Amino acid sequence: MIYKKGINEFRKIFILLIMIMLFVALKAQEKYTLSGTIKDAETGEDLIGATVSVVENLGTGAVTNVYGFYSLTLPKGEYTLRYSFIGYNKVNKKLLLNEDKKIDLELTPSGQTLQMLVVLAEKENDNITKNEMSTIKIDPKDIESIPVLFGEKDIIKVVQLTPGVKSAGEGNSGFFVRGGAADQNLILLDEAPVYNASHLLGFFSVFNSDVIKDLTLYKGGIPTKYGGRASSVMDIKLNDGNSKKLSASGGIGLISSRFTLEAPIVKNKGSFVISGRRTYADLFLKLAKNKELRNNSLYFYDLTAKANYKIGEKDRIFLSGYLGRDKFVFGKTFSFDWGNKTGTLRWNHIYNQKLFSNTSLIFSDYSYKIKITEGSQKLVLSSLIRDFNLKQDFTYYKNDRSTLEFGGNIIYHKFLPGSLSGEELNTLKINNKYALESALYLQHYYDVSSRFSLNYGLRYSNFNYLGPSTKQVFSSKGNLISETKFSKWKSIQQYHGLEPRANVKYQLGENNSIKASYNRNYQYIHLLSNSTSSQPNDIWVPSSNNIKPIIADQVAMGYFQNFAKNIYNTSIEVYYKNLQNQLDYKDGANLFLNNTVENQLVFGKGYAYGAEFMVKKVLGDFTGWIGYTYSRTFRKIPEINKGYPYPAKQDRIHDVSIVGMYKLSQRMKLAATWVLYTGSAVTFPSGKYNVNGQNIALYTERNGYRMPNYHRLDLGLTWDRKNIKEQINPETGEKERVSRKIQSSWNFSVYNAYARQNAYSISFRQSNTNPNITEAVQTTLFRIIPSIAYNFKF
Amino acid sequence: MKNTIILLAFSLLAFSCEKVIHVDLNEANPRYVMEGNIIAGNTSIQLKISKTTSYFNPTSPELVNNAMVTISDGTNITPVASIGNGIYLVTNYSPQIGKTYVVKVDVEGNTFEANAVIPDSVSILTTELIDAGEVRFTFNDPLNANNYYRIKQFVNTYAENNNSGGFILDDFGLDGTQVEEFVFFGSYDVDQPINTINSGDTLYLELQHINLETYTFLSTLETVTDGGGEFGVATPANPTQNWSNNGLGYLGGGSKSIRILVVP
Repeated sequence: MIYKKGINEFRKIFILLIMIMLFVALKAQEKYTLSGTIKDAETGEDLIGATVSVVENLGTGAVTNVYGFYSLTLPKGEYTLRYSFIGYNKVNKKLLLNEDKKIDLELTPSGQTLQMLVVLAEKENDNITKNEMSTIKIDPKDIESIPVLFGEKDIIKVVQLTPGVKSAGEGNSGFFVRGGAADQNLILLDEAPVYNASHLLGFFSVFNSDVIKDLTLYKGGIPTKYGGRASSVMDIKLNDGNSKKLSASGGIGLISSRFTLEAPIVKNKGSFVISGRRTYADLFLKLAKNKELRNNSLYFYDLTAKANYKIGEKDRIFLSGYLGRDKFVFGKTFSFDWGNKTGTLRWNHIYNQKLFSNTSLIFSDYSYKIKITEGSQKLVLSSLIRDFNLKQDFTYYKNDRSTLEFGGNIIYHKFLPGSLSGEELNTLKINNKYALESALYLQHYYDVSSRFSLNYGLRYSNFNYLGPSTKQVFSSKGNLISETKFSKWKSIQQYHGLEPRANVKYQLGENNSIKASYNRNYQYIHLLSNSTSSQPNDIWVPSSNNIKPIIADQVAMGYFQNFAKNIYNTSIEVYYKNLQNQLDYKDGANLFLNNTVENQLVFGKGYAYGAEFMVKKVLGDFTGWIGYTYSRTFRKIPEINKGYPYPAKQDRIHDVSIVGMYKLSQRMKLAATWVLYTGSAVTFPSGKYNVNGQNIALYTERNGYRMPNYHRLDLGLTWDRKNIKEQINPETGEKERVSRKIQSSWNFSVYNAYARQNAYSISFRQSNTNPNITEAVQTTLFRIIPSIAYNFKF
Repeated sequence: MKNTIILLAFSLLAFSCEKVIHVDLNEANPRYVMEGNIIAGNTSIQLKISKTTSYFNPTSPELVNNAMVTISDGTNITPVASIGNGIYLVTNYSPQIGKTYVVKVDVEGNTFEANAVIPDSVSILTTELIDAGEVRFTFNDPLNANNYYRIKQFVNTYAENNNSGGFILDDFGLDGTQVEEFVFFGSYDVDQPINTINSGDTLYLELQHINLETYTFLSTLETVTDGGGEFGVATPANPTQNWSNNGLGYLGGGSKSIRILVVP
């Protein structure tokens, strides 16, 4: 019944969608369309977010999409078009628009990128004029000098330095956005979701910054084309590969090395890029004298590859893939390996100058395997989550003021929460779970006037928890009452919902604007983890008859102001977020290899609010920003803390980050970052007692204590080797400056420069000297970590 | 295990350091802690009552000797008398399989109650002394029911109301099968087995078939004490207890099967 109702709902929305399209088509007037692509003249990479503006009518224009495609519809006439992108030379073009025209253009890099901080890669006053808020954009080219742990450049660590985004812990690549949990972030790598985005127990993200073209994080105002997570979307796009010539780049660092190769397949028609990275701490272990130590290893590697090919004027195919694996081996008895695999096959098709289409087939897989060998006994423990996703997106460029995005997708999820097998053991298997998640969406970007713009949309999502599996029903006390077997494709439980979203912008003047947004997001799959940072053996589970989907509503408002000819950008954003069906764990919950894991969970509400302040200097020898966030995050769950609200573990009241970059000379760049934040909320004992012959702690309130405040200074220095040499041009006989074939740079950095002993954890133990005394012990992970890296490109 | 992995990972990286710090903890009001097991096969019932103390207090917890304790089997109510040291005892009392016992504690104006259902006994089928300190034994798990066990071992002196030690087991994945288990007697260290068992020693192996509440308490106690370790992974919490009125501790219930072995 419920299933049928869902289908009907689906149908209704689909009809609505078609009607809107028709409406749009009917209204189209006698105008002409200019379309095309914008690329980098040196590498042939598509430029995302490059603008085409009409000089005669400022405020009118188009922006390229993620494939570098733009479309602009204007009344018949003569125009001057300005093609621009930050860090590239502008191109002006005169054009008589008396028929539909196609202009493909290549922009040359201006070579002045060093003077501009493009960490938030935008046009001078895009932050004011764009109807987009709560969004962070990062271009990996511009973060190279920002110091990071072990000198291992990591784009996610830079995102963590912006307001509203918090690191999951010391050196950790997991992050929290506006009070949401770490599993409420949708992390996409070329459209494929990455289920466990960290290597080496969280210290490095799985993304190799060398091949990332663009990163956008939506903290709010999330476009309707994204869905499935409650708090944020991090959309990462890979480079397409140099379509002009063969080129290679790489780096040698303290703990890992990277190498990237890119080349055209057919010049200007297709290209590929392949990049690999591996850590080598374990190779040093091989040199150890201790034999036992030599048998241990701990390393990770990842491989990223992408290829694209232009079939004709209107069609283009992309294939991208990622493979990353961590491996930890302890002697002959224990081995643990885990990692992600993703793959995306995309087909771009331009139906006509106004209708752009992309079809994607996406695969994603995360798995882990633990092997334990003890004598003749051998145990293998494994778990995985796997997705197949078919996605269709359309963009309809109605006119210079109106753009429509619509489409849908369907994902087949497979969950293997865990199985344990051994030679002398019955195989222990937690029931597999399956689900179908689908969505339809529509979004309208509309510039009402030159000052006022609106974008709004609706997403309909549907989730079907499917057999073959077993439906478990629990009593209010959590005892298993009944188990019902469901056969393949039979619906066990279905959920669906409408997710309205809207953004408005009103530009007050040339240099300031106000913006507001609302969005509702549904999240149907959940990560079970009883640790603060992401662990390889965390498991994903679908919503079921016992677990309801998370529903998040967020309202946000912002004021944006630029000063001194857009050299200084400032912003204030405030938000309030309401979360339904938040999941937490019963006291002493057992999540590991538990067939009735759903009765270990408790559900309740959550809410979060905060204010984010940002002052940024984007031009000059000195660039950087100061960000400050005040935020609170609470949970209210009847079974926890006697039903009173308690701060979530990611509740950090104050958070300051300062990033400064200074250009000492043409070849020398200095960078420093400083962070300060309130310690995380933790649970400490308020007493102790003796039971079962043990002294045990008595806990009275959840997360009632705070870790000490955290602060840290990192320093970095990037020194470019002389990349330009002078030579005499044999034809003209004049001296000229040319780029060296091999460009290289050294990067020195110091993590935690003043050796602050920040608390990674505080635990309690019996004193070694007097067993009657319990003492609190603080563990500090990294005191002062210097590192050095060498990067090259040719 | 997760702790082990993280620990190993860091010892490999070898950057971490530890220091003892001062932490200000709130003082909770003292609460009552009651602990006892009603086991079919025993001939007495013993309950221990104590109070919580502040966390950093080096002295051992305060024992409570002025409580009024009774046990009821549904028909008769029997007083359980204080014998000092926080211990309450009733002798010549044999718990019966299938019955539900209710223990009531009145102390300083507070009343606590808990009950315990006594499950069927599960017998140890075979025992085999593999090594001086290691015994292999088997038992048949009853089919189509969730069963929980607590295994205890004693060397030379057997104490029926000893509440500490032992290990617990559930029949997940083992339902209805013949279960094989190994127990070590004497001291045993993972890194270096120290065998303190000598020829002539008497080994007592006790298999308790325990009820769900007992298992829940002991298993949550395990996760709670494990998780509070080095890298504080699990959310610290109190074990799931079964006393009314927020009493701490637990009232366990089970039935036992014992095998005695003499080391040759």
